[in-house]
Amino acid sequence: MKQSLEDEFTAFVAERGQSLLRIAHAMTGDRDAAQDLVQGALAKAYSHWPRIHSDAEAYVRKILYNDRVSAWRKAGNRNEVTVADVPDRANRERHDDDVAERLALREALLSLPARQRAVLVMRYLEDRSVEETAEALGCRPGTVVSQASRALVKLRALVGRVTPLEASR
Amino acid sequence: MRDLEDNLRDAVLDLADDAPRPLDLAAAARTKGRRIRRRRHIAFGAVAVALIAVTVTPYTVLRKDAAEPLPAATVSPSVEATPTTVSLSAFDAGKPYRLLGGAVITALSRTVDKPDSPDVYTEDEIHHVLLNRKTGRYGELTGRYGAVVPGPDGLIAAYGGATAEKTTRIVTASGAIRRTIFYRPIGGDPDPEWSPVDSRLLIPTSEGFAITDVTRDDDVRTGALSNCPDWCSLSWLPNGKEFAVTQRDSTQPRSEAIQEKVGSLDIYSAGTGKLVRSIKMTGRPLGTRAWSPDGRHVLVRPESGAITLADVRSGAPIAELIGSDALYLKDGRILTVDDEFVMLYDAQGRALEQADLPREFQGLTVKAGLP
Repeated sequence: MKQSLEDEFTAFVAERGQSLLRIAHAMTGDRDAAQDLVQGALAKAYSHWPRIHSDAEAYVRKILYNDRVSAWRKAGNRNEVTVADVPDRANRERHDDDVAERLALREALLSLPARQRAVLVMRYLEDRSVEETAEALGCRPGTVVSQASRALVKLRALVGRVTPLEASR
Repeated sequence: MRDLEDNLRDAVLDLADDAPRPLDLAAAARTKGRRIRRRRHIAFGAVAVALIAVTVTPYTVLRKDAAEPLPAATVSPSVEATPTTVSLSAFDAGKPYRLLGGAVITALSRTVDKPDSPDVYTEDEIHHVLLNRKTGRYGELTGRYGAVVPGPDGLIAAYGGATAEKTTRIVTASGAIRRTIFYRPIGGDPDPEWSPVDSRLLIPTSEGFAITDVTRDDDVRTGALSNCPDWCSLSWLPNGKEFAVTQRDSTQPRSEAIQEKVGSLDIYSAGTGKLVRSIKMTGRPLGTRAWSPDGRHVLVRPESGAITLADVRSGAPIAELIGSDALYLKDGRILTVDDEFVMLYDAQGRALEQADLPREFQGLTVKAGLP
C-alpha cells in the first residue's frame, strides 16, 4: 500500500480510535472484548483501505456492529448474562432513584441480545436515526423499531418501571 | 424521577466512558489486515489438499507487480536482472513440494470463503496444511490456530487467541499438543521464532520476550525490552546465542499519527537476557531465517517497502528483492516466496531463477523451509 495511504490509515486510527472503543465498550461491557472488536474492524478496514478510505468511518462502524452481532450469534449467546438481582429501587429521593436506575440499566443492558444492544447504542450513544441504524446493521427500519421496542420493554421490566413506554420515536 | 430513556442514555454513556484507552491499535490492525489480505478469496480445508494435488496448468505470468512499492532509494531492484525461468512440478500432497534451491513448502494456510460475508473471518475458519516431516506428506492441522510456524523435529508453534492473551501451542503435524504457553502479546503480533540450532522458542510478549526449550516444561526465561516500534520484530541470530530486537528511530518525532520507523537493532544475549550491542538498521528482519548463515547480511522490510538485503555491519541496503517472504538457504543463496511465484537470488541479491507456483496457491499464505 502506498505510504500516503498508510499514513492516512494511521491518522484515522489516531483520530477515531477512542470513539470506536467507546462504541465497542458500550456494546460489550468488557475492555478486552472491546479492544478485540475494534482491532478486528480496523484490520478489515486496513485490508480494504485503498477502496474504502474515503468513507472509512462508516465502513468501520458497520463492521463493528455486525461483528459484534455475528460473534454473539456464533458464541451461542454465551455473552448474555442473567440479571437475576437487579438492584432494588430504594425508596429514596428522586436523584437517588435516578442513580439507582442508571446502575440497574447498565447491568440490564448487558443482558440484552447483541442486536438489541447494538440498536440502543446507535440510538442513544450515537444519536443515529432509525434509518441510519438500519443501514449500519443491514436490516429494515421496521426491524430497528421492533428491536428497540423489545429492548425497552425488557429493560423496563428489569428495572421495575411500570409506566408504559413509547418504544421508539 | 426522570424518564427511563434519559437514564438509559446516561447508562449507555457511562458504559462508553469506561472504554479503555487506545493502545497500538494501528499496528495490531495492520498485522491482522495484512493477514486478511493474504488469506482472502477462497475456501480451504481438508478437501483443498486433494484439490491442490491435481495437475496444474503452468501459470505463465509472473506477478511482479504484486510486490510492495519500492521505497525511494539508491538500490537497484534485483528484478532487473534476467533470471532463468524454471518449471516446478505439479503439487502432489503425497510428497514434499520442491521449490528452487532445494527448499520445500512447509505450510499453506487459507481461510474459508463465505460468499455472504467475505470479509468476516475468525480463527475457526482458518485452515493450515502442513508438511509432516516424518511421512513426507501434507495434511491438515487439527485444531484452530491463527498462524503456524514450522520448527525443528516436526514440531510446530501454532498460536492464536484474543488480543489480550495469546496461546502458543507446540503441536506435531498430526495435531497432538505437546505444550501450551500463555502470554500477553506485543504490538504488531510478531510470530514466535524457533532457534536455528535447537528446540528453543523465542516468544515476543508485552513485557519483552520469553525463551523456552519446548522439550522441557519448566524452562521459561523472560526478560524486558523497550523501544520496540509499532512493527516489533524479534529474531534469532545464526549463532543461536543471541537475538535481535528492532528499535525505534529515536530521531523521529513521537506521534500517534506517524507510523514508527526502525532505526537500529538491539542484540541481546539469549543466555543472560542482557543487551550486548546495537547495530544500525532501517527495516525489520523477516525472522530468524532472514539472517545469512555467516551473519553478515540480513533481509529486512522497511515500514512500507520491498524486501531489502542489508549489510549487518553498516545497515546499508544492497539490493531489493521481490516477494512477500524470504529466507536464506544453507549455501547462502536467498529464496523469496509469494503466493504466485518463487525467486532464487545469490548472496548479493542478484536474481538467478524464478518459477511460477501452481495456480491453486493463489490467496494462500505459503511458507517455505529446508527439507
